[in-house]
Amino acid sequence: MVKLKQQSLRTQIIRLILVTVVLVTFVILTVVWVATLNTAQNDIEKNISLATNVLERTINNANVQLYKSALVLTSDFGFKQAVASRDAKTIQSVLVNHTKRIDADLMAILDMNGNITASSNQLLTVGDQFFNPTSTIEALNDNGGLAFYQIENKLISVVVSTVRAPTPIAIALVGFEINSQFINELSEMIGQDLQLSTNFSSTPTLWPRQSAATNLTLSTLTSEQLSKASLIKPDQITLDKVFFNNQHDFISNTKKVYSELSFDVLLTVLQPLETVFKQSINLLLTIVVLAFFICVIAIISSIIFSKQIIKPLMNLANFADAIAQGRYETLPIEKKTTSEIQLLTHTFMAMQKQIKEREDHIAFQANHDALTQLINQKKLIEVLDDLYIKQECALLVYLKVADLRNIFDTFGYESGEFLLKQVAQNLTQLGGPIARTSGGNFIWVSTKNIFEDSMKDDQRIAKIKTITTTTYSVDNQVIRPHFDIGILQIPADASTAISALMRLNITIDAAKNNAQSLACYSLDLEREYTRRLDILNELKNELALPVPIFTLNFQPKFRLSTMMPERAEALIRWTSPQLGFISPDIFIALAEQAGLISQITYWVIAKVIRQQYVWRQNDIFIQVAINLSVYDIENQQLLDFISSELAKYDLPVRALSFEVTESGLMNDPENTINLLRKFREYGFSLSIDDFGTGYSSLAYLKSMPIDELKIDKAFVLKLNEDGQDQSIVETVLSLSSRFKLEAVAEGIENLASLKILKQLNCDWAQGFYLSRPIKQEDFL
Amino acid sequence: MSTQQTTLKYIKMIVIGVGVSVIYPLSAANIQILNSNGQPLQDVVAIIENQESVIFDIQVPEIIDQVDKKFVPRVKVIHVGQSINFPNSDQTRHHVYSFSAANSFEIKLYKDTPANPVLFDHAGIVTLGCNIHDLMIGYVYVAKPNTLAFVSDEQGVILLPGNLIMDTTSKIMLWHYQDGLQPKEFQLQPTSNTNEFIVQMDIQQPVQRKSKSFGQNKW
Repeated sequence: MVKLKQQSLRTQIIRLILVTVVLVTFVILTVVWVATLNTAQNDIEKNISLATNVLERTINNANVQLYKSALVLTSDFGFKQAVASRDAKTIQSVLVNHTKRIDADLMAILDMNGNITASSNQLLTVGDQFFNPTSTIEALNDNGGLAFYQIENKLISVVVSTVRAPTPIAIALVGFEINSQFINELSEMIGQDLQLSTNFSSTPTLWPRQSAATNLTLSTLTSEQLSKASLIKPDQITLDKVFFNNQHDFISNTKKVYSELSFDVLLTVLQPLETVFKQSINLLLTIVVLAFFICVIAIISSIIFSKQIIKPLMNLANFADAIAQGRYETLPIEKKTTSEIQLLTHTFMAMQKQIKEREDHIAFQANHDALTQLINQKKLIEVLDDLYIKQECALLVYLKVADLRNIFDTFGYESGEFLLKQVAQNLTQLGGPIARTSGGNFIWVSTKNIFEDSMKDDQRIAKIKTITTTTYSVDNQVIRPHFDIGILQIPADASTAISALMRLNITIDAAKNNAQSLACYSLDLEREYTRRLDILNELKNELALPVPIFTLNFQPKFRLSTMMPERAEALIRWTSPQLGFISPDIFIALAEQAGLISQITYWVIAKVIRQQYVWRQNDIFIQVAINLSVYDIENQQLLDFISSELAKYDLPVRALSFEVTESGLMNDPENTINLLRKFREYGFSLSIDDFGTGYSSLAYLKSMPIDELKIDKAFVLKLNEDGQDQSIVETVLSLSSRFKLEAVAEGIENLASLKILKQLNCDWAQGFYLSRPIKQEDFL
Repeated sequence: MSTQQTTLKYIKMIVIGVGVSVIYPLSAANIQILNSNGQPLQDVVAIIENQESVIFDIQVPEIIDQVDKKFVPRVKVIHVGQSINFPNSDQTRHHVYSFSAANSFEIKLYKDTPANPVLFDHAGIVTLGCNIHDLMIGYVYVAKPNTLAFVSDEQGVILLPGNLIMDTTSKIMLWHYQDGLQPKEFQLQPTSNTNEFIVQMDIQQPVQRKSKSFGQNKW
């Protein structure tokens, strides 16, 4: 099971979504805030501006009304008359009367120099100068106008107009106090708080009865509010003020409604900050709450979504892990997943299938032979092990293509391989496991069901033989490969697979030498094999000794004409302490196979030469013949050794002669001829041993540098009885004489044979009848 | 013409006039009144005081008519004790009044209602107005008995009687209604003609009163 931090992908998805939502929310909030702020500012400015304008207009309209009223008043004939009368009392009473009439707060009459001549209110004192003369002239030219005056702590809206009767005779002043009531009415009209305030930038000089130029404020706010109020201009609104405002914060806009010299009258419109931004704050809070919910939903949906992805991914991870461990399970298919995951799943499954196929393929190759697709040796062992475990019986048949090398040489490598493939195919039809262990070696495991129990060995063998006698067509040629067959039964003949195979090898070796090319395993075989191994080992050991315990026997050769033992053949004898007497046929053959023969030959030669020396001392001159194997001949140094030994003991060349077997000679005739020539050059005489048993070519025979033929004992043993042998011997003797070779007959057992040989003009004779091989002492 | 050029022109005239005046005998003098732009100034009252035997008729009332909502003449010169009749030739009624110290009165002038003449028994300037029509203004100069008073005509000329000898040394009192309420003394300026004189007064073109509108706040 693959372990993962499962949160990894899920966390990432959640994180991503959260970050996105938060980021988006933040951006939205910022944008909304900025927009809201801008809008609010604009709105406030507009509102205030509008309010201010409305107020201005209203005030202006009121003033126009005032002016018109004043105008009407001053146009009144009676008023004019009164003013023209210059009667102070009259004027005063008219003033008072008319003030009431138009509901003014004060009226005054000024002369043409700007001095107050009459006043309805103690604010304006008779005799004070209200205007300077230049202003008066301007007033006359401009027909009067409106002004604001702060007289003591009252803000008075004053209308000035000339009294014409018909030319200007006086200036009338009508004043209306701007009080809280006025302000409140205005405030109600625009629905916002406002205030009028005066501002003196310096003390004016003509203000009547100005005690001190203090600024005056008329406001709809209470004095308490006013004292705590903090006024902010629309462009001064900042985020912290919006969120952390108090009831004392007002957004305000101020406009000058009247300005004259150093006196300003300012109109300020106010809006409480919190009401203005209430909606915006609500909006922002709503957004934050919404964002929060979106986050929650986002997390939930991302969890669900990630599950859709994570679960299949985990399955795939486990699946991959199973593949890695060689388990080929099926993958559950998720339906509720993305197409990419599905694609991945399908790809994984395909990959698994291919991996499995490749694994199978590799496993197959590991257990099978590449050429023939039969199982290989490793697998064979497993199969056998399995049989052993199951305690099942089986017959192991080793089929070896004996002449495979030949086939390769003759028909070529490719054809040879093709042949093997065909053989394999054929063998497969036998049923059961068939292995090709190497080259042309096939092992067939026939389990119980191939052969019936009732079948005898012969029948079985016969069946096997039929199989192996088929012919194959290769390159339009018919080949019948020659099979050596070794048979072994398990568990009877071997208790483990390895030993079974080993014993099969022994068996096949035996089959090789067998006339039928078939051998069944028996303990004897094993024993022989073991014995051969032992002999070989002992031989090695012996040769390793400084003084091997071989002995040399000499079998005299009798010249038939003189019946004198003029020559002898050196024969090695070995009696091993462990193994007892070992026939030279066996150990020499083994030595040749094991490459130990030259050591033996050296020993023999050395021994013979020494013996010759001893004999010489005793005046015995006998030519000794030494058997050489093909390997010896090929040894370049042998000649040198021989000559140096001879020289050492001061012996002539003719002290030795050498015998080589016919089959040995014909192994590689051309080469052998060359090598033997060297011996000849030295002066040694050479003999062909065991003549008649090998495959000699007469053509080579004539070019062989040999002096003597030794007829194989096979033809001589029963010479007296066997007519055919006699014919052969006769032929051979004829042959040898033609070729001017001397002939030696080996294996003479009886007198009759001897006689025949004499008759046939054989030159030499050697055999038990005449003399067994004897020790050198006996020669004396 | 610029003032300089005008002055230059009249200086030329004066030079010629001096030459001519030597030849021609004395005749009725006249005075050309000019405004500050050198243009003829109408309705200027000229007063020559301390004159003996000034003849005027107190029995026959002078007339100031109301034509087309205007006083005709705009400026009337009478002597103390004379009366003025206000016939009202207009179709509308007029309510003539005066609050001047010299004479305060009011006459409601209705059609078909003849009005009595108004006696002016104090010397001084009387400003006449109409209560109905604010722009209707007229002036009466009530001269003292031994004062000669004249009004300049449309050409701005004051014709003096033939027996009145004036020269450049003569001083004359002039009054225009745009220039306060007191006549001022002026010196006669000679022209080419010995009988003709020029006086230039510092008075702009008669200013039309602006209509009553609510103008600027500032004054």
